[in-house]
Amino acid sequence: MKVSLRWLRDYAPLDAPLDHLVRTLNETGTEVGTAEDVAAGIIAARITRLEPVPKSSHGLMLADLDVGPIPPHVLVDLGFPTDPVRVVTGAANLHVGDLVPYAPPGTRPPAMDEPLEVRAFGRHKSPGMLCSPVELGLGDDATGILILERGAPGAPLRDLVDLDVVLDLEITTNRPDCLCHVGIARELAAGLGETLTEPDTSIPDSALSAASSEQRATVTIDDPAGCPRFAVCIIEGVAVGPSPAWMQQRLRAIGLRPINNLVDTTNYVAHELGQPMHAFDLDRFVAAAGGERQAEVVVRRAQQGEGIVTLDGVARRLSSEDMVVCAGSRAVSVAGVMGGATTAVNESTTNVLLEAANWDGPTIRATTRRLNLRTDASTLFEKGLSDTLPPLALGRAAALMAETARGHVLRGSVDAWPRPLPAPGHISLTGRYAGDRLGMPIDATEAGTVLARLGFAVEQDGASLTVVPPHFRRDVWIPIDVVEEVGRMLGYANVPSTLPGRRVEATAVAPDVPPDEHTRDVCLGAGFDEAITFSFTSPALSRVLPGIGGTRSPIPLRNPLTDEWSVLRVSQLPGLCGALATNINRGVTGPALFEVGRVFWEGERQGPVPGSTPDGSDRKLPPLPLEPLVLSAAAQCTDGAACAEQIRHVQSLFDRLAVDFAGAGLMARPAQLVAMRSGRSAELLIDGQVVGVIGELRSDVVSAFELRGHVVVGELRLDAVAPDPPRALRFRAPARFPAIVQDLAVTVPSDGAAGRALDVVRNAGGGLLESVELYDEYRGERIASGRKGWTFRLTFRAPDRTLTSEEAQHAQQTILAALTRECDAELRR
Amino acid sequence: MTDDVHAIAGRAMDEVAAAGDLAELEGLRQRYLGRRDGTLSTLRRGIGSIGDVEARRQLGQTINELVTRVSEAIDGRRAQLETAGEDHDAPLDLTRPAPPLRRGRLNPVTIAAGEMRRIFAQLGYTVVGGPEVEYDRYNFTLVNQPPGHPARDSHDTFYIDDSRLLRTHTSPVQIRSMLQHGAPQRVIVPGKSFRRDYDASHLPMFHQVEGLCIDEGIAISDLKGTLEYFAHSFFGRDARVRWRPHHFPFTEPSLEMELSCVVCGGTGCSLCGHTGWLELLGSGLVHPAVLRNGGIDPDRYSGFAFGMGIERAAMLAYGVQDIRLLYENDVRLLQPVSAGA
Repeated sequence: MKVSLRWLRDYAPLDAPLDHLVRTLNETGTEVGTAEDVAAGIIAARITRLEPVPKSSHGLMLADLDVGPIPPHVLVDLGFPTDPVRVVTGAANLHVGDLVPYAPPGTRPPAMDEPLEVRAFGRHKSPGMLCSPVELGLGDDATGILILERGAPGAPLRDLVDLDVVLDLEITTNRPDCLCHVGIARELAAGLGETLTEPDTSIPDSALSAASSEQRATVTIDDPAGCPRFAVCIIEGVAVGPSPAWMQQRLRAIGLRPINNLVDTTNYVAHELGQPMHAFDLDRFVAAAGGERQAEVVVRRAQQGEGIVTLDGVARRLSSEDMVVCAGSRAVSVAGVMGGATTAVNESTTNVLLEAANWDGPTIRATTRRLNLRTDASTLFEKGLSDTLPPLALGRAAALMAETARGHVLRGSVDAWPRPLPAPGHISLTGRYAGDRLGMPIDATEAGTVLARLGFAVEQDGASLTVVPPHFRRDVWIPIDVVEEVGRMLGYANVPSTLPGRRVEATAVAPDVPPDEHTRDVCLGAGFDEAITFSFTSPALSRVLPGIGGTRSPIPLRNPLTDEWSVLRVSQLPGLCGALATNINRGVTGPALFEVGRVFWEGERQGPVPGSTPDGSDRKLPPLPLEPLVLSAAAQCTDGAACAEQIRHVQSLFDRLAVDFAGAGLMARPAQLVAMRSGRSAELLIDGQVVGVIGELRSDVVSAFELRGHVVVGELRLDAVAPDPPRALRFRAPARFPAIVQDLAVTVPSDGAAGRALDVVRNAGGGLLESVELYDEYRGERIASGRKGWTFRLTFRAPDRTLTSEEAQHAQQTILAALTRECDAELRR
Repeated sequence: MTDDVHAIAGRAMDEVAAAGDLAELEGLRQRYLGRRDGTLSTLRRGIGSIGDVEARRQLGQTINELVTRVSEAIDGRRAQLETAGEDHDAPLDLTRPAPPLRRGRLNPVTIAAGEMRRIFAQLGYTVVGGPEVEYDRYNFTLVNQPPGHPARDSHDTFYIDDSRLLRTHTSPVQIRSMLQHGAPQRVIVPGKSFRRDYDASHLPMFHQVEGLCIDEGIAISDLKGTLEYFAHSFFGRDARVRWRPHHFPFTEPSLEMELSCVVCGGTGCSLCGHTGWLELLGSGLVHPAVLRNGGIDPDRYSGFAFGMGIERAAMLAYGVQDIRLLYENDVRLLQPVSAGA
């Protein structure tokens, strides 16, 4: 929101330096975005020569200017001579030697709507202009150029005359009372310890007519929930014309374009008091209602599909939740958002029906969203305004219209107020309470002073305060809200910085962190780079590469951003393969990526989420999806051999994690998985449960992801692998008795699976077999065709004695027998 | 006899010193020290024939000393010959850059989150988590944003159905953690959040870290001290912060912490919009209604909470200029550059 510093000074002195004012606003909670110099680039220039424009019938003059040692670079850019600068002016008050304000092209004198362009007068092009006081927003005098009393050519005008400053402020949603000049002046005055003088909202007797508003208007509110208050008054005999220069200057300063004295007045009051208003043409309003003389104002919900043409000329369809203002039965204004075209004031208006109302915030917000129409008025109303404001705004605006449009104000107003808003009541607190919450001693008297400056009614009884917030503070209800007022006004910079005492035992809160950190560490050590991909994907990619998600259906979003991101991922692999493609397309060779994150599986969560409300109300809702924590890996390889190696590498990585977390490796079960090459993919199991998948992508899937070469992928459920709570660490003393190590060489059918054979060896080896390793596999001349050779290294050991070679030999025989029986093995000779 | 022994030993020493290879040296060892017919061994065996006990003893001692000397000389020469051989092996050019030890690299977001975990762990905070698909109630209503609340609009929420959504912030975990762990507690919640927003400075998925500290007597001063400690730990000793009153539905009072600009140090530049300050995080005392929703008695306990975007912190701390770079997953981003590069 923009505010004019000059305007603010109507209500408080505020004569501190600008940076002090800005700091005060920032420190008390009104964020200052920019403090805009409205006359940036306008400089002082000395007239060195004056001559009439030849054959000019308008008395135009050519003025040569000395613009100081460094001419504005825009002149150089545009190719104008700079020594001197020659501009065209129509003013008659100039003399050679005068120091005047010169606005080069591209600058915007405060009273202009657009930045200056080079303007042609006949064959003379004028690079910019000399400015009158009114063009600079310095008064009403538009007849001549401002003659500067001090300064030198080239000096910024800002340094020579008192120009306005426009502050761009960011107001938090809880403070609609700050969306106006009086509100900001109040904050500043309170922060600086100055006195606020609020504008007079009474109407001078001289402006009052003998008739009363009630004779010409009635107001009926059909829906008090949507419209707690609606007040009108009537001004007769207005003369529509431009509003006075001071009003135009202020509106322009905050970015509003002046229209006429009626519209400008409503805008002015809205930005002064923070109560949006609307001016109807009374006669058009009466006509719209089909009446004779009295305006019949009805406030109601719109009918579904009811049409209205708003001021901006757009025909709009309303919903039954929107509020409308009607002339009789006909909707003439979208409540709190925008007036209608048929009853708006125009150049021929003579009588005005002035509206100031209070609207239900959520209703207005819903309407602006439905209509996609946000206005200055709706921005205020949607936050919920004070219902005390409407008559104040009516009084102020009526008095101004009487002044600026020479109207007569009918006595009184028609004020329907069927449902006063709940008003903030008494709030009691002590200085001690405020001090405890802020962390520094608070003196009740000092707190009371601060609150009084903000408009609170304050009663002090020793260290206790009882306060009543002002009507416009609809954000202060409980003691802690009052503490905030005290804290921000005394300044948080004055609060000391402390660390709370360590009363929380480290074990008081059970860690609930999934084991992601260790997983990342192991992945880094294995040479994989981390990727983080979006949790959304497309239904198509979910089907093409379901990964660990298997046959699960992804959860659709009701309002996705795009089709590509319309469902929640059941696997991270589609995203990760996309990231792989990005890298390959950018020339990265052999990227290897991993991601640790959650996937979303509908209907699989067991029991309520930890930390659910004890009322059990979640049970009536659809359960939240299960969110397994998953590690995914994807890598591109140049050829099949490298790919085989990479698959084993990913498998080693997953095994390492399984051993770290669960104390046991993963069992691989060859499986034909979607998207994976047959014979090169497997499910990974722990305790018989599938916890992972691994394999090489089929070439059509490689192409679908715009990848090239061979791509290895793997996915592991960390939530299933890592027990919660984590496995306790145990160690045992190294064996003291010697081991007997024997190699067992066999041949088996060439499709024999090592996993199965190792299980057979382990089962047959009994308690003496400490470990078995398949350390060699080969095919060749000395092996019969259709078979392959395996060499197992068997380590036998007894925990309590030195094993005899007979015992080891016997155990090996048992193993060989089992292999022969179960795996069609033959001893190799 | 003694003179003979010395002469033999002297010859042996000369021959050992002159030995050209290991085989020759081994021959010399056999010739002089061989157990069966080595010259010195044979001499030693011969002393038994000397009658005079004292002479016999002296000669024995001399021979033993000479055997030791020759043996050491042979060992020394052997070491010389062996290492001389090594020197003739192909020399290694150690000036050639060593092949890199391949280690993967983390996304800056993860690095920043880990850094935050460590800093808050030092202050006694435990990491907790919550679901990313949340109920509307926990995401909004229970943190003081009932239906119709203006703050709901700005969130631009991804909905799954009427009651379930993608959490728009990590704040619902405040409620879940309070209900699970009660008071006192100190927790942080790093995690993903989602908003329906996609432009140069907003992504539909991002990371936040939420912090919550509840105990008796927690005050704004505790909030300030804790987060100033964090800022100095994360952004360095030179970082300055300032506090501005703000508004959030779930805290009262609410404060925003700003960081002195990491680029200009506070003098004003385009990053900080010429203000010298960067918005970093929102914080405040937990609103009494939120404590109550979490099953905690606001008359006995108070607490502070804060929430911060991890991407923003990472970008500021590590000099990443565009948030979108963080999720392009171009691995070349992950290679840290040296300061000033």
